Amino acid sequence: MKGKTKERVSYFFTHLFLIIVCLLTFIPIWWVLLTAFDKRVSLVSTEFLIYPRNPTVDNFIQVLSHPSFVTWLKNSFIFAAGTTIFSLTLATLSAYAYSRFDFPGKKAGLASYVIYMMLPTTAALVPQLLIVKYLGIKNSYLSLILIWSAANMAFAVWNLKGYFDTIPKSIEEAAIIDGASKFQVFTMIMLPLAKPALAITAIFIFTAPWTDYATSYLFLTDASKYTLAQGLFGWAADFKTVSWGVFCAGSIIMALPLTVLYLVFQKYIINGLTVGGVKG
Amino acid sequence: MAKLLLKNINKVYAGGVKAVDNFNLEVEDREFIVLVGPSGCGKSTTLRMIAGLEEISSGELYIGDRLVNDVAPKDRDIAMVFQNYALYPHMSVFENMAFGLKLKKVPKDEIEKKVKEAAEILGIEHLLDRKPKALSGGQRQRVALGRAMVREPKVFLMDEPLSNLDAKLRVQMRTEISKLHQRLKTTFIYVTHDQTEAMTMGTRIVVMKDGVIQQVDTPKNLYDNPVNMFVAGFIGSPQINFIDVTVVEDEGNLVLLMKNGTKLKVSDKHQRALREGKYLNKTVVLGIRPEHLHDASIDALSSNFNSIKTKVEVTELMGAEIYLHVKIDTAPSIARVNSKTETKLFDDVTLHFHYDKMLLFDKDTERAISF
Ligand SMILES: Nc1ncnc2c1ncn2[C@@H]1O[C@H](COP(=O)(O)OP(=O)(O)OP(=O)(O)O)[C@@H](O)[C@H]1O
Ligand SMILES: [Mg+2]
Repeated sequence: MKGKTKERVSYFFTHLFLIIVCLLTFIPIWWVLLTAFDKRVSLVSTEFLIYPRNPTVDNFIQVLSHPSFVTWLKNSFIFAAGTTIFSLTLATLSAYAYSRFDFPGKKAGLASYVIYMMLPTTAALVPQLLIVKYLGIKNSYLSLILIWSAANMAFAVWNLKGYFDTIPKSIEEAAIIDGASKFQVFTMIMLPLAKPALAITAIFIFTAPWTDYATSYLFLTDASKYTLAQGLFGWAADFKTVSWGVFCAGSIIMALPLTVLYLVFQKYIINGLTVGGVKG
Repeated sequence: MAKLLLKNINKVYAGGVKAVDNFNLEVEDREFIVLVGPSGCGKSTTLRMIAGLEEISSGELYIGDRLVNDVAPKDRDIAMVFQNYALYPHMSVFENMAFGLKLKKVPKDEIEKKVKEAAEILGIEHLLDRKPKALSGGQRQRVALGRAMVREPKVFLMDEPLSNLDAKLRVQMRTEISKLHQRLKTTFIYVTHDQTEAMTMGTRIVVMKDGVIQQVDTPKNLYDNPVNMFVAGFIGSPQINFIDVTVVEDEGNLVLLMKNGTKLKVSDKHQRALREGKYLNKTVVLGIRPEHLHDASIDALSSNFNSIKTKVEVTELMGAEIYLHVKIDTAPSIARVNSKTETKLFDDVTLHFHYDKMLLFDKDTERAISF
């Protein structure tokens, strides 16, 4: 009996905690939604609304009809997808090597990734600016794809290596005996098995450039290469008083593709995050 | 055709571990060879060298008449079954079994035919569409066997394929693998650390210890004539009893004197061996298997037997038999007697054994004193 009461109390507090956390995350989102769908002008209004008083989609129409909107969207997509494809390819190959092969400098290589992750990204900004300038690729897609890829490599390699480590070596050996070449083992066995880890790593990488503002603001001066975040903020800030309604509508439009991605890959994401630690 | 020859094979791992030491073995076609030994004795290493998954440090390996030291695993005409099954989790049972054939570009209808055939033999036709995750341990093991079968290898290699199964299923799969061997008529090389598996399945058994072959023999010979104390102790369950005794002369005959003063008769053959080895007045080790100790109250032996008086310290009823734990001199020993005995815990008991059943070992070298 006693154990049961204890269980109930702990159940209650666990859930109370979870509800509070959910509310804390949800309120700002709700605020953004309200602002986007309401005719108000101020984001810092003192009155708290549960639902929009003057519902409208004007803000969205305004964003979508902006002459540069499609360009910004396209740019964001090129940056995010380019970074994802480029760094995921490199990370998968190197994670496999780190997981399966022994070579001199293996430990040092892995450790250097950790050290890299501990450095604040801003520390690299000046050298990166210089390198980009030196290579003569300023304002190109390539410049930011390289920078974002570098920033994501450490995480991607570690995450994928952790997953590859959980795949028993005997599965590969079985394939070798079945007649698979090293490359076939990689493409026909390891890659399909690593799908959950690949999916989550891809989404994480994709999110970084998609939601970035600071890096593109620093590196891009050519308006035709502006990302969605950069373009929207610059535009919203152009109004005499910042048009928060437009800004929030833009944010929602930006968040939509990510939300859809997360929902579609939800199953994988949970797998990809937990499976690394559990020996299959 | 699928003869196998291992000539002076050595394996030294990076770091200097000598896992296999001068391994010599000739395997005839259709043999069922079992490699057995305690953990870490180099069984898996040997098997993996045959498979080509591990490089051979020195020595020569022939499969058929071909030197295969530098031949890729897929071209060695072998198939391997792993302890953890090593099925491809993302493929169905059918795809798992077909994978090797697909890589070999075997025509589709032929693949289908072969997989179906193997599945039928193994009784897994109804599982062909399932993923490995949805199978029980025994079913997974069958799929792993099937994957090996469809390749029609000259040699089957198996590394503790049954150790992940529960006791009952293990016994069942044991017979199934034996049947499979008879049916496929190919060479099997089977690794286990379980002496029961080795004794029941192998046509010949290789007993290993610390990377060195101790004895290669048929199950019966290993049991009857172990070459040393290690093999004697490894084969047989419960373990053989070892008792230190002194060889003395008694009225012209050599007898074995126990510390408690009991004298044990020795067969003529053993006497001759003891004399030849100059063991008179030396200590030797007597090995006597639990099943050869009889309870004098129910099993009277007619002639040429020795008796030892002792006291029962623990009893274990196994059904038809009962294990009596006793001390013979100071050595803890077990007698495996018929359970119809009246002997109970703490009773005094007289144990009989026929002197032909005695095994004698040199105390220092631990080698059998043979005739
Ligand atoms: N990759 C390796 N590198 C270094 N040493 C190894 C390696 N693999 C095995 N060994 C060592 O070689 C010896 C033999 O190992 P092996 O795996 O062949 O033993 P085993 O007889 O199969 O044992 P078990 O019954 O536990 O499977 C052991 O001492 C082991 O520690
Ligand atoms: Mg082993």
